[in-house]
Amino acid sequence: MGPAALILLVLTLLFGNAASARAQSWPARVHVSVNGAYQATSNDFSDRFEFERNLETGSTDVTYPVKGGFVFDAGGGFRFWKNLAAGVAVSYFTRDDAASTTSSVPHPFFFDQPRQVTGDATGVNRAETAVHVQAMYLVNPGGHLRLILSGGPSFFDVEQDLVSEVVVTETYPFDTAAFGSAKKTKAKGSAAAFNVGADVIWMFGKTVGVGGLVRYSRATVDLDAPDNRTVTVDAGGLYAGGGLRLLF
Amino acid sequence: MPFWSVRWRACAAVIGLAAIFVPLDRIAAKQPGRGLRTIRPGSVAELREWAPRIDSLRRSGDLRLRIRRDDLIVSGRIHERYDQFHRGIRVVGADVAEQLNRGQMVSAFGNIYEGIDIDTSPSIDADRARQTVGEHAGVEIGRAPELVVLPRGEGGDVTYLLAWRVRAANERDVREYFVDARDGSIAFDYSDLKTQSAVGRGQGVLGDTKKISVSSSNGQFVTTDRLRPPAINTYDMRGDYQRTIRYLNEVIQLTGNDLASDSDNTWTDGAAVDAHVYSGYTYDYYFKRFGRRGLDNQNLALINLVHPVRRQDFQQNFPIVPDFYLNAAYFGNGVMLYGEGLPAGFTAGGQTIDFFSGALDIVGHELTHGVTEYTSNLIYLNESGALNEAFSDIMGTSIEFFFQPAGNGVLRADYLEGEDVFRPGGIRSLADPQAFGDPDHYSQRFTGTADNGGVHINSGIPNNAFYLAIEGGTNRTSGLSVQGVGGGNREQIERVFYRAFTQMLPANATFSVARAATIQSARDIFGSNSAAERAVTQSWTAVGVN
Repeated sequence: MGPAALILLVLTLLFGNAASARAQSWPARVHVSVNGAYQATSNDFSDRFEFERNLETGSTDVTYPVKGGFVFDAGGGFRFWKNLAAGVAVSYFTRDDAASTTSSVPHPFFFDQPRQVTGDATGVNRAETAVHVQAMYLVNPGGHLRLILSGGPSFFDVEQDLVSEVVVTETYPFDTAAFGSAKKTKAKGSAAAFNVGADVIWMFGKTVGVGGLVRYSRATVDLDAPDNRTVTVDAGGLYAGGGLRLLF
Repeated sequence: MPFWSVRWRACAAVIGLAAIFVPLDRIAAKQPGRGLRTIRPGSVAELREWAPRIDSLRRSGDLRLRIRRDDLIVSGRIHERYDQFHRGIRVVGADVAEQLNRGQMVSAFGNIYEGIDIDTSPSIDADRARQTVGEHAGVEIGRAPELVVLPRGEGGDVTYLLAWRVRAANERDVREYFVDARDGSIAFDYSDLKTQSAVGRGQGVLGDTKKISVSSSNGQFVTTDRLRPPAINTYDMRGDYQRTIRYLNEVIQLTGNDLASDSDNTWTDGAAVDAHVYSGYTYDYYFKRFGRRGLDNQNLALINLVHPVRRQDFQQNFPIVPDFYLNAAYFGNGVMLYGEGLPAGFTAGGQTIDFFSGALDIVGHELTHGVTEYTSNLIYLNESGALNEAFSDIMGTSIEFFFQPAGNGVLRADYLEGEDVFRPGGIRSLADPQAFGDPDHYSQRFTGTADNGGVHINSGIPNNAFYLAIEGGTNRTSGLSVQGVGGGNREQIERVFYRAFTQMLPANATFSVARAATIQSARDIFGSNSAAERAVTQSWTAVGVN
């Protein structure tokens, strides 16, 4: 059972009966939400590229940790018929991590005697911007509590720093080499996915409230890497958080 | 020293590269007051004397910031470089490098010129200077000239010249020109061509492919190794034996045009490739095994001479310079000459003879004569001469084992000498000297006067001792057995012999002294009763040296 299905099941169990038994009309036409959230999903990935040096082909393997982190999420919806609404939300995730590199660097004097070089490339940035188009089902159990169930397509735009070259320091007799620095290039890619989520709202009054949001949306994105390569990464995942709610 | 049986008496030649940038060099030592002032404070007090002076020059605009950089090694430090100007015109070769810590000067080094008293109004304009240089260099120049003050040294004074600096590049060179801003003449120029290291693909004498460390310059590749600490240059004498002799006698010097060259960095001249690569390997071996930095332990430049004659000129030149065909020799001061070998269809003693540089043990052998020259300097006569030759054979063989897989045949490490060039079989054997008519036991030593008292003959005795100390076995003559340290521990015996032969032997050492020194060396390195000491002791005893 995936995260999306789990979310739906829990929400159904929590609110399904109440919604069907005591559901009331949704009191507002428009709602707006602004959230801070934490993305729990790690999207670690790896890459390998080759290069020519000293008449031979060397290689660098890079492991990119993309751990969870803060997500900014904002969106809104428009109720167009009874408890059904359409909306859009935008989420933005960014974080820097250190990518670990392992390179095999050909020797300047001898064939088939590469030097192994390891080191970390720091400040490797991942930025994910996602637009979540949503069909919404608005549930008003009564009292202060409101519930929004949503789902629909998502469109991810991912920018990822990729290590394009490892600069090594080496001196005679060149039998060893050390990691000096890593050159990075920014690779970009886009992909479509789906989203499903739930927003539990506690209204302080008619207009203002706070809400807790859970959303799952995950995409597989092909990044245009240097040297006409393609690096495939996962983006998004499960995130949960809360924030301000406005109902008009 | 020759590799084979002919002795060379020629002296070594040393190439001295003349400094090109004469004017700035000349003025570097002139008196203060007018001319160059070198800033190199040796104490805090001296630094404090300079600080206000430098600051004054900065405030007046005579020193202008060119670069400001954070120190990447010492955190918090900042380095600033200032160029000197005179009335807004840059002074060539004058700058100051400051190190700052939280704004405070920590050090300052530089050169500034005093007493500049020239008019800074040029009589000719930049376009004319550019045209002058363009005509001289044979190119069209788009870059704008810069008006500069050029310090020039002559005799005890420094003079200053207002000049247009113009940079011009053509297919051969990149030059900085200084055109006199008064009369438009070219006052001074120098090459600013920077070569850079490159790794090429070379095919050796035996057709094997290897990497070759060369330099690139203007799209041409030349056999100058810039990756190893010493300069290693391989010169192609292009079959001109007379020029070769003149060089060896220091009548002429070789230039960059004499270096072996290649246009695409895929080298097919096996003689040049192997001379260049194998001399680098030999340097590597001594460095990695013993920490030695070249022949003199101070990175003496290595000079390889190949093609002193041509095979196609064999019938004409062999009677004149037979050893340029049939020998390799170390001429001292890092100069090696590698013979051309024999043309196809010719043999000597039933063997074909290839380019001498094609055998790693030959190259190692010759260069080891250089090591001996700068260490024990074993006299090339009688037993000390045989030890000299033996040490070259021993190190040549050791170098082979260091870089090549053990085995029989070409490009394999074994205890034969020169087998990759003298085919089949080589010319000497450390394992079985008798196979080549050389003694393997002191009782059979050559006592005549030929070959400097048998330096290439009696070398078989210490050679066999070295072999037995590693591999063990029985000496053919004495029948005595030796328990060697084993091929996997050959480094032990190499270190024992290297240490003894370079640091412990006197110049007129005998075999007996060599025995004592190597045993002492083994004891010092590996301890009394160590396997190495036992092996060395037994091996000398087996070859009859006590």
